[in-house]
Amino acid sequence: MFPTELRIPKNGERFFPLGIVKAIAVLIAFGLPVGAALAQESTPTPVVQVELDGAKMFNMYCAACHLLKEKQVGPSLIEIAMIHKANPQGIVDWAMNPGKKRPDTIQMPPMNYVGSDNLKSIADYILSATEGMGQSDIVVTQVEIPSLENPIRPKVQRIFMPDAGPAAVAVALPGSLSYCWDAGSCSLRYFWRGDFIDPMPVWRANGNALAKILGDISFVTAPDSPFEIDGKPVTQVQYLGYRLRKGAPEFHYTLNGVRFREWIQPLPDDEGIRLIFETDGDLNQLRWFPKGAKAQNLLAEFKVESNRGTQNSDGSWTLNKAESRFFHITLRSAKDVFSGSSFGE
Amino acid sequence: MKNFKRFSAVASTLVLGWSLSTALLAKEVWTDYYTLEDIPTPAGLDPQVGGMDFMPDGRLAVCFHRGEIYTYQPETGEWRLFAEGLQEPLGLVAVSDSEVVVVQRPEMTRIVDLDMDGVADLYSSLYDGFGMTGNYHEFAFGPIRDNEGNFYISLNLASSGASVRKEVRGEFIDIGLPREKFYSEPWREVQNIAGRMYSRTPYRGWVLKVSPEGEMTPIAPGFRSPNGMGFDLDGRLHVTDNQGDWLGTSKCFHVEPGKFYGHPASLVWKEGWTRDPLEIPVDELESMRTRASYLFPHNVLANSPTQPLCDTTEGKFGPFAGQMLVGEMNVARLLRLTQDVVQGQLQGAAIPVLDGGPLHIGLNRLVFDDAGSLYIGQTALSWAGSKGIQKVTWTGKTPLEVLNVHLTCSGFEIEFTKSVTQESIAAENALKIKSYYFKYHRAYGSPQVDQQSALPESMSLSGDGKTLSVRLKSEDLKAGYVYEMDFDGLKTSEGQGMLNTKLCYNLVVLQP
Repeated sequence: MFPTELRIPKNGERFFPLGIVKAIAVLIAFGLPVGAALAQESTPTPVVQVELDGAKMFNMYCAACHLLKEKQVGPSLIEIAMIHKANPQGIVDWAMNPGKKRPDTIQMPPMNYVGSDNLKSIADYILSATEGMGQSDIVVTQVEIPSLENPIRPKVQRIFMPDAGPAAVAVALPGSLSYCWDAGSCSLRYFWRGDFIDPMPVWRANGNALAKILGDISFVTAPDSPFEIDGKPVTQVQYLGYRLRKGAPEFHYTLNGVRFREWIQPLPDDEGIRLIFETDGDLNQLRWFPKGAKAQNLLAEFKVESNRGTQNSDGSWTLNKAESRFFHITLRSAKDVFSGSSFGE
Repeated sequence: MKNFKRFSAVASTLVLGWSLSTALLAKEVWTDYYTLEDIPTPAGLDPQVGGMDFMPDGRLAVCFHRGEIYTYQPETGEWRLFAEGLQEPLGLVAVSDSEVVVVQRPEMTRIVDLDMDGVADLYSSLYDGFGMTGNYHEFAFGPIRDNEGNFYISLNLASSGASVRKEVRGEFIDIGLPREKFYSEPWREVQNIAGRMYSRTPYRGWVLKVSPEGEMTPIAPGFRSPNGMGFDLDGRLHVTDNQGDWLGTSKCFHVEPGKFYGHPASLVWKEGWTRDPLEIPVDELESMRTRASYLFPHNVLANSPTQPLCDTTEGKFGPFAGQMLVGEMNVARLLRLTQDVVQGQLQGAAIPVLDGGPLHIGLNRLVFDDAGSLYIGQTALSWAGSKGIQKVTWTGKTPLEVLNVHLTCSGFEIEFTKSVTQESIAAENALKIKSYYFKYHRAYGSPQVDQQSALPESMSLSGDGKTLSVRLKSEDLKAGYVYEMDFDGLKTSEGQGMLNTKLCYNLVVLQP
C-alpha cells in the first residue's frame, strides 16, 4: 500500500521551524549567545550542536521516508515523538531493530549502520523539532485526483477488467454507454450503461485486483472471435493497436490473416451500439455470430441488424467479399434490457 | 515534494552557518557537490514515474502510473498531456518530437501524434507476443533502444503471492503445477508447488529484443524482477534484478544472448525444454548460470535496484563519465558501477552516489538532459517508494571519491578522483576490507556467508597520490566473493574528506 496521494504543501507549511534554524545559524555565525535567541522564540534549549548534527543526519538517513507533520512512507515525526517522547532511546532501539506494527506501511529497514550515537542525535532532533506539537498538528493531505467514475467522454483506459482477458481495454462512449474490448481475442466482450469504471482497486495497489464496472452490463459475448472466415473459425488473432477517431478507438487487427478495423459508436439515445467494420476484403465469405453467454436471449433482447449481407435463421449474418469491406452490425435494445440485467444471469 | 526543497534550502543555511563558525561537520555531504531541484508535476495526477526520455526538441516525455504521458518543457515548466489510457507503462523511449515507444503491461506500443496537434492519436502495438496470466507481479519493463534501433523488453515472473486469472493470454505451460490446480482453494496450499516465482506463459523472466518492425528475438532467460536495462558506452547490455528466491542479493548482469542468468523458472520457455526447473539440482543450475557483474549487498548498498544508465555527459555530471548509474527503490541513493574486465569477464565495484536526503526513495527512472543534469523519476507501486521527479546538477566541484577499482594479481588498485595524503592512508583503519559471498539457492535471499576481514598486507600510494595499491594475502583473494571496502579519514592535502567511503567489488574471476 502506498496510501498518500499527491501532496501539495499548504501555504506557510514548513518542514522545519525555519525561522528558528536561520536564527541559530546566523547567531552562531556572528558569535551571539544562542540561548538568548532561542528564548525569544520560546523554544526549549537543546544542545545546539546536537540539534544541528541530528537535523543534518535526519536529512541524510530519514527524510526520504519521514516528514514532520505528515505520514509519507513511514509515520510523521509528530507520531514518532508522541510514542517516544518520554524515552528517546526508544527511537534508537526501534531504528536499530525495527518491528512492524502498522498494517498500511512497509517494515522499516534496520538503520544500525548509522550507529547508535548518531541515531541518538537524530532521536533528540526529532523530539526537539516536534516540541509542543501533538495530534492536532498532524496533517492529512488529500488531493483530489479525478477518477474514472464520470470521465470526459469518450475515454479509453487499458486496465484489468472483470470477465475479460488480461489485455482488456475499457472505453466510455459519449453518452451513458461504455464497453470492454479484449485485445487478446480482438473482440467486444460486453457493454454497459451507467457510469464508467472504478479503477482504484488496481491503481491504489500493484495490480492484484480488477477495475469495477459502474453500471448494468448487457450483451456479454464469448471469449473468442464472433467471426468465421471462409467457413473456418478464427484461429489466428493479431492485435495491431488503435487509432483515435473522434476520441474513440478504432481497433486494428488481423483474423486468420485478414485485416480488420472496428469502431464502436453509440446509437442515438443510447438505445444500443453500432460496430462499424472494415476489412481488406481478402476473403470470400465472412460470417458474424451473435454468440456469447447471453446468446440465447440476445435475439430477444436485441435487434441485431447489419447494413450488408443476409441474416441466417440462427441470427448470424453472412457477407460476401464486397460486402465485407465495410459494414455495420447494430445491436439495438428490443426492450429495456439495461434495467436490472447483470453478470451471471 | 516541495517540502524537501525548503528542507534543502534550510540544510544549506545550516551548512553555511557552521562553515562560518567551526568545521565541526567533517562528514562530506553530496549536496556540497550537486544541487537538487524538485520538478513540480501536473495537478490532478498521481506522479509515480514509469519512464522518461527527452524528445529531440528538448521536451521531457514522462509516463505515469495511471497511464498518462505528459511532455514537460524545462524552460517554461509547462506540462502538456500527450497520451493517456495506458496500463502501467514502465518505460519510454522518445523516437521523435511526435512519437514515443512505451512498454505497458500488455504490450510494447508505438504512440504517435499523426495530425501534429500535440496529442497522440495512434496507439500501435509493436509487440504483444508475450504471455500474461493476469498475476499482479507480471510487470513488463522497457523499452531501451540499441544503436541499430532495436527495442528491448524485460518481463517479470509471476508471484506465488497470487494465482492466475481464468483467462490468460498466450500458451499456458503445465510443467510443475498443472493449470487446474492454480484455481484450487485455498491458494496457499498449492502456491509453493508452483514456485515462489513462476513463469507459466511465454517469456516471463526473459529479456527480449524487438526490431523496429516488431520482429521478436528472445535474448536470455533467468530473471526474476528485472526492473532496469541499460547499455554502456561499449554497447554492452546491463540488466538489474531484485533479491529474492534464487537471488541471494540484488545484482546487475552483463547480458548476452543465449546465456542463463540464474532464476530457473523461466527455463521452461527455452526451446525443447521439458523439465520442472524446481527439480533440477542446484549444482546443475550453478554450472548453467552466468554470474552477475555486480552484486549489491542487501541492506548495505541496495535492496531493490532499478534502471542502469550510462553517464554519457562527458564530464558534465562530474568525474564519472562513462560509468553506469543505477537507481534504487528502498534507499535514498544511486549506485555507480566501475568497470574492470578480467579474463574477458566484466566485473567491478558498486559505490553509493548522491547518498541520502534530500533525494527521495523510489528512484525508478533516470535520464540526462543535454546540459548533463540528471532527472530522477520516482515511484512506489504499493512498495516502499515515493512519487515525483527530482533533478540533480553537478556544481563543478570535484568530490574526493574512488574513481575506479581494478583487480590485480595480489589485490586491488584503487584510483581516486583527487590526490590523497600519505598520512591519511597510513592511519590506522584507513581501509577496512571484508569478504563474503551469497548463496545461490531456492530460498529467499541469502545472508552474507563466510564473512572474513582481509587485512591488507601492504598499501602503497602512487607518487601523484591518486592510485592506491592494496596487497592482500593470496588466500584472502577468492573468486565468487564480494569485497566490501570502507575508507576512513582519507583526505586531500587541502583537508577535503571523502564523499562516499564504501564500495563493494564483485570478484567473479581472479587475475591469472
